[in-house]
Amino acid sequence: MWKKKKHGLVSVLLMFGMIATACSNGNNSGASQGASPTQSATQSASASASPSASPSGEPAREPFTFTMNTDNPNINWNNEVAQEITKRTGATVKWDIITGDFREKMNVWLAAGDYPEVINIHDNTLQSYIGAKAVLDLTDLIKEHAPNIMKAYNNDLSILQQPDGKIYGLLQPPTQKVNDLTQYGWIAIQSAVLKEAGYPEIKTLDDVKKVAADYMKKNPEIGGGKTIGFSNYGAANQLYNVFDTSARSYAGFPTTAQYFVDDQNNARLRFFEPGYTDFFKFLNQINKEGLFDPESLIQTQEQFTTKCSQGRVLVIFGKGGNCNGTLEQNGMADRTYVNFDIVAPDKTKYVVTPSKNPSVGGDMWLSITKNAKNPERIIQFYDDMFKLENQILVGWGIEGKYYTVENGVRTVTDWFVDQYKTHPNTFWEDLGIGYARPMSTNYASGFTLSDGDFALYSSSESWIAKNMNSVAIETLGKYGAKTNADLMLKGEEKDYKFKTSKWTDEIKTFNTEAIAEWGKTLPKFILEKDESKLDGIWAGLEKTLKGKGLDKQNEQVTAIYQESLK
Amino acid sequence: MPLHRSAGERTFDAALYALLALAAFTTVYPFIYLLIISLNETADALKGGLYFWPRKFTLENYAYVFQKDTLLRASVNSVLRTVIQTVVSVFACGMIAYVLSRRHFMLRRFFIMMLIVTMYVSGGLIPTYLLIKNLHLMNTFAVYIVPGLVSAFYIFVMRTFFEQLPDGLVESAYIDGANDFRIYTQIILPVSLPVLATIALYVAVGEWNSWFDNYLYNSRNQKLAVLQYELQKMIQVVESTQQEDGSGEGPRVISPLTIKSTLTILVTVPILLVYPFLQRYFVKGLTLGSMKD
Repeated sequence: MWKKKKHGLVSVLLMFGMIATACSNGNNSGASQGASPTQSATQSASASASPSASPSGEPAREPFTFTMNTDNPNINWNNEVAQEITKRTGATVKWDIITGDFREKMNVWLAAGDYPEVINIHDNTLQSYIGAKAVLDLTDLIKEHAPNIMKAYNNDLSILQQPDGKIYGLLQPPTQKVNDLTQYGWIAIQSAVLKEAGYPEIKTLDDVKKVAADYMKKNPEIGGGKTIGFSNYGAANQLYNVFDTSARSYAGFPTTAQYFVDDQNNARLRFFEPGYTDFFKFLNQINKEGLFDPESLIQTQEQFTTKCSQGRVLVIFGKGGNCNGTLEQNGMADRTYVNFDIVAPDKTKYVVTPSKNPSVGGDMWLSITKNAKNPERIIQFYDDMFKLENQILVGWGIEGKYYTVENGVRTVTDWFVDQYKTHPNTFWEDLGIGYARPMSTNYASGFTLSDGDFALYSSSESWIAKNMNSVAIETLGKYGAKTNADLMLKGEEKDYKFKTSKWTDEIKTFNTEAIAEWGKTLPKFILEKDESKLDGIWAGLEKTLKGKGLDKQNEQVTAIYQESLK
Repeated sequence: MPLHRSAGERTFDAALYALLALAAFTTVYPFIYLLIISLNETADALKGGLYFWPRKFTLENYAYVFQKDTLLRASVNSVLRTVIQTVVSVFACGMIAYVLSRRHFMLRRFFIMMLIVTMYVSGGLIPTYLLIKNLHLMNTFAVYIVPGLVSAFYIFVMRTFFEQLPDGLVESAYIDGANDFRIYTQIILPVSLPVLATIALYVAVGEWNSWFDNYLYNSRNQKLAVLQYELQKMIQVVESTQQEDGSGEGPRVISPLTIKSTLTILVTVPILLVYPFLQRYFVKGLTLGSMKD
């Protein structure tokens, strides 16, 4: 007994001793660890940068390397554009690729201090980085080292300022002119349907209905399956996207979130504005005539794509992806969709004046972190990138090879388009034209550079035209258009300045609930057999939402909106 | 046992086989479906209606996946981590389990409690990351092995099995002069093949499928990428391509549908091949259990 006890005591003591040594080892290694990564990092930096770096004086363009995060696993620095950037600025980017949950990794990096030197970061994650003092204030850096950036922002950096008055990141620079040729109308019709009807005028929904109904009568089956009139995918939250977009577009309401803004600057949830349900009433009517695909209310994108790829869907409403590419590959290019814009006859289309500024809160920021070895050199690099010739390099690539200048307009070459068609998955990375965001140029659709031409190849008419098949060109031609954008109605432009960034959680919660209730009512409305009951069904929705505080909600949104106008 | 069976018995058997065949089919069919999709032309697959046979047979989806030069190295890494971890982890967990199964071990309850705690409370993402970083395991192959070396769950499964072994086995070995390590390796392990096979399978499947540690700790060292991580990348690329090409205009040769099917087939088949080899141990395990006492 005694022996056993003694034995136990010894082993317990031994244990403590072991734990103690283990702990102290751990501490030691922890401390040395804290220093070592920076050490090795500096070593690698000094190895890559030339030792004779002079931080001040001449704007030296000696080679230097910095690290930057990206969510593009194929991104590289081996292509022609990257080499040209290095030649012009001396900089090489070492990509720190995030595969998987981007925000999660950014937060883990923040906690461990492991972030790269430059980060491309979402607005809400940036707020955490600012809170942790992980990003540098760029105000003085820009003012002292970056005349081109100052110029790009018209010497006014206020748009970049955070509430504390400091600047923690760059956004794409403002533009002088927006000319968005990538827009397209909300009703897509198969070219074959229009051809069969002899390309009639498409001005109203009844025009669309007529061509579709006629075609359906003559072709009750396509490729062995039943012909479908109007369809799209409305599974889960797509229901709101697709059907609300249609109703809003048809009523001519502007794209001011879920709200309609009247001339007195009062904001109201648009569901109950006059004309909103007109498109749903149209669907109700064509459903009885067998022209509406009731599965539109529930089907997923995959299910819809299957029907669409079989060439059976004559009309797609509410935007969303069409299947032109698949149709062409399956030998049904004659069914290529062309998009029309239709507004109810008694309505005016209101258009939000396109913003010339970056979307603060929406666009990703470019920030320099505390881990940057040479912040001045990095800001100098971005200053170089803000020069016109470098912005063109990032947005268009190599002159003569990727694009040529014809009649003063940058035009993509056939080789360039061919690369896209033959390497659709690695096109951006192989050619090095996916750098718009990390190198900061105007990447919003239709944004132009200071020379008046498009900032990105993908905004240009040459790119859009060269990517269309002959059927689309022919059909558009019959309607006097070159691109789908030409078929857009002009409408009345108004600078609403409507933003959702100041909305309270209460407002957001109500919106979510309102959309959920809307989603419960819509199928009933569209599938209702008795037309006289329709207004009653919609009034029921209004009553439900009033019970949940619709009036108060409208007041709050109006108050925030009017406040922002001051 | 008379070989002659009545009509009723035969009908019953036939019905039983039919039912089992149906059950087997419903289990296997999703896999067959993926195989068919992966062997069909992409644009054609989007038209749907593929049930039992590819309509337009092609190997281009597999060619697309295999054209990535990083894939070979990633496969080697995956196989290495799976094999090494399976061997090492089963051995390590087994050692702890053996110690904890010895009733005269004094700190038995203490260690069991410590292990149970880890089953209910985990360190959380960021503390774990910091720990790994401070242990100098970032961007090393060891990070695939060390953190997952022992698992409380596996230890308890094995301990339970070891406790059921007759005490006489160990006692007689002691009398013959064997030490604990020798008893563990030469007496306990050979009679515990069923449980070892079970745990080995758990570990192997887990290791083969894991990519999160790669994403978290080894993303800065391409040489250490594992297969699942590379495939994850590939899906990310295909999906982002689809987004950038949101207008739907222009060709898209590869669709996420066919690529995902192809990848699923590619990652499932190798680990599936492990099962038949371990199967016999499970059968043996059952008979072993029934013959005891």
